[in-house]
Amino acid sequence: MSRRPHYAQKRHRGWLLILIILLIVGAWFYTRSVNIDKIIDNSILKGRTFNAKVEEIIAPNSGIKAYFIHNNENPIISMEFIFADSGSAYDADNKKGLANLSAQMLTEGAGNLDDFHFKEELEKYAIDINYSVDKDDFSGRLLTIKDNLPRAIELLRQTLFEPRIEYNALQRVQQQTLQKIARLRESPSGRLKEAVSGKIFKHHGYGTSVLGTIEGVKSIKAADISDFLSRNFTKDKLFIGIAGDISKTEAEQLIDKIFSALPNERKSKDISSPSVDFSFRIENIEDKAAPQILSTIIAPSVSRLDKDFYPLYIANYIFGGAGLNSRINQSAREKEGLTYGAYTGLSLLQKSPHLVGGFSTTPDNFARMQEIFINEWNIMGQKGISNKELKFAKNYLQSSYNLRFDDISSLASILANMQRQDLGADFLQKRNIYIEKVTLERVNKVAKQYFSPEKLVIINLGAKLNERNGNEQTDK
Amino acid sequence: MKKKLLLILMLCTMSLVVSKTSKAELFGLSGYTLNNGMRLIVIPNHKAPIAKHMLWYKVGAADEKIGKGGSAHLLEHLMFRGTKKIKGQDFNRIMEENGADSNAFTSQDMTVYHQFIDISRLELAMFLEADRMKNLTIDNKSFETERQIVFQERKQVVENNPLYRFHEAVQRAFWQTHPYSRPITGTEEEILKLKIKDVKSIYKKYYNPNNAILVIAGNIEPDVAYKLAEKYYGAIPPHGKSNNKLPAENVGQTSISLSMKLPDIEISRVLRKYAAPSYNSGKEQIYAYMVLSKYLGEGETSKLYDNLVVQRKIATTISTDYNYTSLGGGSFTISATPAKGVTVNALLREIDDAVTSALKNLNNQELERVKTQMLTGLVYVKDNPQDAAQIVGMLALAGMSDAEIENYADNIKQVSLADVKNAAMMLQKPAQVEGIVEPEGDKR
Repeated sequence: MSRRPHYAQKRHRGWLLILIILLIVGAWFYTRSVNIDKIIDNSILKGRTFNAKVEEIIAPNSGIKAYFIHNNENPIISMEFIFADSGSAYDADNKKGLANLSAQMLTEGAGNLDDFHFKEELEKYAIDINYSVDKDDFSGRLLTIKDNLPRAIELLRQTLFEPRIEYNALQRVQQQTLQKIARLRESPSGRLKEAVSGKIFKHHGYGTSVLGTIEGVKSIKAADISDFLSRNFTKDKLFIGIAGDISKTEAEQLIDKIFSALPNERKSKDISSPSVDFSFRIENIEDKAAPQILSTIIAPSVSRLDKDFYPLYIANYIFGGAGLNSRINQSAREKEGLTYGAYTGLSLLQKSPHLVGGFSTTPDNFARMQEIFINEWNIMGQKGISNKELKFAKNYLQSSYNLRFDDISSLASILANMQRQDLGADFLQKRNIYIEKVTLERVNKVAKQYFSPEKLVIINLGAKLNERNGNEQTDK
Repeated sequence: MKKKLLLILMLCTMSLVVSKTSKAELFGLSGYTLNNGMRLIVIPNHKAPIAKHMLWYKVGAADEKIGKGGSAHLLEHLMFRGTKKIKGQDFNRIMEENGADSNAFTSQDMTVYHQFIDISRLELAMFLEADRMKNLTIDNKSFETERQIVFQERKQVVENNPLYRFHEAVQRAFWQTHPYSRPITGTEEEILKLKIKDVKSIYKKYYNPNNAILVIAGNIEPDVAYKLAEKYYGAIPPHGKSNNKLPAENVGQTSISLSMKLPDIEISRVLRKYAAPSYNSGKEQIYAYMVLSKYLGEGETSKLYDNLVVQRKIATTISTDYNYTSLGGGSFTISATPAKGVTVNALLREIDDAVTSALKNLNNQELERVKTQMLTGLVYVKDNPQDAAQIVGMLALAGMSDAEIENYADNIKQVSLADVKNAAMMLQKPAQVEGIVEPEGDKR
């Protein structure tokens, strides 16, 4: 008798214990999940927004338009400007490297200052002027403190209209460029990058690095550069972003002072789009010096203004764009520790937008790593993403949006690119709405089309790949 | 990729950006000490509703036990693998979902966790960072996986890059028996043998508020940041002790020539690395060395660049780099690339001559020119909250007070010609390491 109550009591206590545990666990789950939202909802820092307004401004004399943001957090001003369709892909076959060399030479002396004195002048006034090219475009950047703006405007104007392009400086910059080309081949990743461009784009301008070829760089003369500048620097291809401690009127006048003497229209020819074969294949490149096997993947994608851009952007984010949280990193890195990291992203080349990605791993892990990649790729194409994943992607893309406004040069750059990509002056207000409007159905429709098992090129570089990977094509 | 190592200390930014500004304060920062001993530095920047949140622990690879190389770095990885409250990989998921750019890095003296984040989520980052300061859990599965990942990381970042192998060899020669001679990642053998207790012991001993510096830069007022820091971090009691390292005593007594021929190197490089004071080992001297470095080899108007690259075309690149933030002692490095047809030995001789001639021509007028370059445009350093937090954190970890960080301009102004000439005496003795890396075979 004494045992029953005891039992009963015990059993009762057991239930009670379970109930208490459930309550604690429940409360813990509850507080845990609530905590995160609660911290955000109750934060004393919420409600602070990015108020800077983008204005389209028009220079009074030349009529050149630009996007502009006034910001006086610091007494500094930045401008970015782009000459579209003047990048390295437009270099003639026998002058590969001309666009890049031209960009380098613009700050090697201008007006009455030789290379040394020009750079000394920039340092003295803390003015930064630099030019660079990518495959599509030629761009320039100015950063100056407010007090030195007049001097900065004059120096920048001189780089565009009175560059010296002297023999000694050209010879030096050529030598430096040739060494940069050689350095690209020092690492397996550089060798893979070079090989991939060649294999995908072949003889098209996209197939060569922006630095150009050794023969091309060697053959460039001062006259080629002068010719490049007069052909490409025209108002019809010019896009400008200005940000910082400067008024709208001053910014408009600044544009006239620098750019108004440019010719109106460009004469040089457009280039064709490359014909790229995206049909499924694995290509191997033998490289004895590589301690890991490195892989690049290429697949078709869409241009910036395509209706499928945002859905594909989100599908890519979930697949390979979300850092350690992407599907590919979750499967390959976080679960199996196969790689330091894998990624994919959208490349927005004007004439051949594509999806590009990569990973690297030691030879013992390689087969599994490649298998996971292809497997995840096919799952994305067949099943798409879930509602939960869509929400996750939207949360990230929207709440990370303000991070791009971190410095005044980034602001100028965003503005110039908004104009270049034809996104509209209201893009900064609308971008998160564009993201919000993307539906699960659209993402999955687009994923099916672009994460296709038939359209995926994998190019691997490493030692003894043939023995490892069986029957694929191999370059020696 | 996530969790990069900070392999080269990066303070040359300080002298690249440059002020005529009469305002003496470089960043306009506010400093606090929390009740538990944690140092807080706030750098307001109201341009956009964003903030950089960086927690700097004063522990790095140099604090590892012999044979346990890579344990500080592996711990850094495991800090993303769950606590008692935030399980598994929820830290990464929550940060990503809230738009954070979250990462960490390990160097010889420090392990740093940082988030670049919308200001509305800063409190969340503080909550999560404070949580993993005290509540970390490490299970076997995560440990094994992360150990594999850091092994792959070493393969990808170090072994795939021949120049990196050269720089590790230079570090070994320069630091000799000092812990800095060992790779930050550990060697492959060390990584594969690490145990959970190796990383736990670092966590227990060094991950405490009194051994950490919190830097917040962005759209926040200093008093608000202080309140929040007390709210989230203030409850963690101090324990262990603050890791204040002494400078190395025996570095600088050797002179080693190191020559490597590597198969995948295409372009030869040379360097000379000299022992120099760091803030921790000789704080009163560092500004003169900064001026010396700027004068000789920072930028395209520097004396060595003008002489060897522009005028005489013996080199295609040359630069100097002065590291004064390392706790064990500083270093002054001259690095160059020979022009085509110039041998590495010929270039090294020419560097000697160019240094001698530059120092002979150094006068008060040149000194003023260089100082103007260093002081004009200093306002740029606080434009980007990410850069500002990075620079301030690095200097604070090197031991600088808030006032020392803010008074950069005044300290540079006070450097005299005699100070710089004294600093340059270092260059008249043989370098501690003369390093050459060349292509294998006859590629050159």
